[in-house]
Amino acid sequence: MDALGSYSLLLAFGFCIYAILAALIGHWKQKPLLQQSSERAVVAVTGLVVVATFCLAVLLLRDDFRVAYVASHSNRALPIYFKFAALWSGQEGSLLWWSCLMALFAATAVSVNRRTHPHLMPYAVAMLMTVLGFFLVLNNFVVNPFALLAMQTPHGPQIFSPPDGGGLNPLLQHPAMVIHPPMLYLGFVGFSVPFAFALSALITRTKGEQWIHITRRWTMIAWMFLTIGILLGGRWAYAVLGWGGYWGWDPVENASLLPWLTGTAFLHSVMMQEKRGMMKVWNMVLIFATFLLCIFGTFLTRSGVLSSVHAFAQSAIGPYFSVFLTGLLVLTSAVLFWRLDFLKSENQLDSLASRESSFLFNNLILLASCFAVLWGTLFPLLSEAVRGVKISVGAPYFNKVQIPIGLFLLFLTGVGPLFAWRRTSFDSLKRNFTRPLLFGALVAIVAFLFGARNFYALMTIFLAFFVIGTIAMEFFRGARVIRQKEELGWAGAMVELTRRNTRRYGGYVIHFGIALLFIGFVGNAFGVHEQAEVLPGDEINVRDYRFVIQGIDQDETDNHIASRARIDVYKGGSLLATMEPERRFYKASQQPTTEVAIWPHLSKPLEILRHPNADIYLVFSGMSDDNQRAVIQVYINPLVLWVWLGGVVMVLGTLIALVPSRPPEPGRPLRRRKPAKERHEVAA
Amino acid sequence: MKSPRRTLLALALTVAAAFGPALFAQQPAPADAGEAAFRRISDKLICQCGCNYGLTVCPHLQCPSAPVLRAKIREGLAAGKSEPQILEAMVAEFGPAILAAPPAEGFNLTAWVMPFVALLLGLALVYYVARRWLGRRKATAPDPYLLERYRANLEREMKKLEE
Repeated sequence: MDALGSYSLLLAFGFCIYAILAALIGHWKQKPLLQQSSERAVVAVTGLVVVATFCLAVLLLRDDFRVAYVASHSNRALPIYFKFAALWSGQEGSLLWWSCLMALFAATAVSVNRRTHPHLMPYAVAMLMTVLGFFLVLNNFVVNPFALLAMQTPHGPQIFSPPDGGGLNPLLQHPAMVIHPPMLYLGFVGFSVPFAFALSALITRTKGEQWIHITRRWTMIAWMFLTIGILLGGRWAYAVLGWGGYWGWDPVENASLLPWLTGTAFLHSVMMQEKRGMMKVWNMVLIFATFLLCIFGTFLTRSGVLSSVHAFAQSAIGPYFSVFLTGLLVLTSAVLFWRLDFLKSENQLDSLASRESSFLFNNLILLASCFAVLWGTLFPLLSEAVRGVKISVGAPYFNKVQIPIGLFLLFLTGVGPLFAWRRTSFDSLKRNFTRPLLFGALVAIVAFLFGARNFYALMTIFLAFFVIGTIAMEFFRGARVIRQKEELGWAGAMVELTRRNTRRYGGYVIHFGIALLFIGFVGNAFGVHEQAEVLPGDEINVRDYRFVIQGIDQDETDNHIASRARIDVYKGGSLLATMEPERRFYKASQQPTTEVAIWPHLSKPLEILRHPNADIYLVFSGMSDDNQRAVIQVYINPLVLWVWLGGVVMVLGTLIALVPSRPPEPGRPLRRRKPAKERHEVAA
Repeated sequence: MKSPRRTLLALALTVAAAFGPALFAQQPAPADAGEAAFRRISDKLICQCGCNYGLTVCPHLQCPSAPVLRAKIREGLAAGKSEPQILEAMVAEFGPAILAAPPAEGFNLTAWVMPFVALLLGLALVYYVARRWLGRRKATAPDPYLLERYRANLEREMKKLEE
């Protein structure tokens, strides 16, 4: 199986090189058969990489410890789903997994578009295969996942198999880790498709917004996966790391946020190009930057240039990434300058009070946020290079810089949809703004009366509910018209409204999710954290909760030994729950970990409905110095649930936006569109 | 039907009441000043065991660094030292990397200023682009008579649609 995997990878690399050459030579020499052959080579590469990935998965499931990767990242007692997740838990496996997802994306993009947009295919194929080729170089020659363990004997090197593996890093033995990395990689990899098609459109001088039409859904899918990946990463950190939070501005977290911010800016500004033929250069810059930041993020995560609590796959692949990243940067900049004349804006701005202006500001703020994250993340390296002084840039810095920027962004989230394309009259603005503003202000005043005194928290509440108000008004106005015309109920009218313009109303749902997310962030200002050393029967009192220690149990499985504290949680005299935070010792890796108890947790939906406002978060850190008392940390984390809820709503909104809008029924006025010939025209 | 303002007020009260009391009515009773100062200082420091966590939240029990650092803060507070004095002593002993955020002075000032400089430069760029695009519009402005007719037609059509 290891030989099959190795040969598949090697063959895949060969086919990859062939696909690049065949695509380019076929295009330059005008040989359609050669071009067609390059597209088929993409399918062959995909098949071979999938075979290689399958081989590694089988080796992990079969506990084949002759393979160095299996021996280092798995063990016999590991549950089967974690054995599968071990596929992306180390450097070699995760890079193979990246190649596998990249190949699948490339093959799908090529299959879907090769007949409808043949003129874009040669350069798109060449670009997709260049990116995949880079990862196949790493897979084959730098960090091969099929390398075997060998020991030196008098008769030469002898392959050997240890009786058991070193086991999976205990921090990675969490359900979120089974799906978090694939989601994040799907997001990173997904941006390669719009990147490749944008570059191809630029090189071939393809007129119109064709590349945007082709890649819009790809971009949204990639953005959705990146969103899910980031949120699941936060959920994992919250449930596993045991520090009471879900986002610590760690370099690896920041690395995933950078392309998300530029990708979000792109999804907004691309509408300017579609509707008004504006910002063509900017959109190219944004999609190039988004993909380059995906590669940059991977480089940061794996090169070890910055220390991180999330980095589990580091080796000396940094220089390879640096060279590749520089190459991509030079290539994209050169093509952009070469074709700058082609990207001239078709339209002009009619008024500053317009949707176009709001998108300009939206892009500015998203990019400023991205720059601030990048600057803060890299500043320790800069400081060391310039002054030779090592410094830290942690959460206090990012919170201070990002909160004002985030609030401005939230404001624009509410304001943007209220502006019409081209121009908006003052009366219209007044009509659209008044009620949402009043709604936001009222909620903020009530929150103030309840005792909230934190300025940023109050501003966030005001703006988040202002955003919710604007979205509600948009749905209400549209549904009211449909309701009158179609004689539908409110719910039916809203569904009908959404179906008629899924992209617009899906976008509003995403904005609603963002508002929920920000409400969740407000909770950070009101959390509490206490630590106590306790004996069975002792009590810890935090706010109006009472924690009674019932006892400490021991448990053992094949995989780990656990000490579990049983803690009854009371509020106002009534028992809320019995929580069981654990401290585990993993046998294979000989490492201790904490298993946090969170209440209400996602497995109890009814409890979530009853107590939506605060998570009770208990950590059993271990035993005191005299080994007599348990060290228990209590966190009361308000509104965290709203963060996850906001994430779910954002994903739901993206799914809605991905569904094609229902075409108007016969007899309804059709929206004017450019003739197909004009849209698909290709420059000579 | 209720007036929109009353509906709005009722909605705002319902929403705020749904999550407000549990969030804000439970604000912690002010801890004693010493404990609050301890928390403030801990929040500004990073644990030195290489875990990359803040000192307040470092979750490692066998951490060789966090208990030592926490003890030093408590000792400093007990000796009557101020917050800046304790932080200074920490930097002198462990180097500037112990601070969770760089102090806003000297070269480190650029860490704080640059994001906002970039934002201002971006604003200037947006202003420049918007002015250019608006100027282009003026150069190709349509006949005001035709524009007025077009607007009148549009309003008539919109009214029809609303009816």
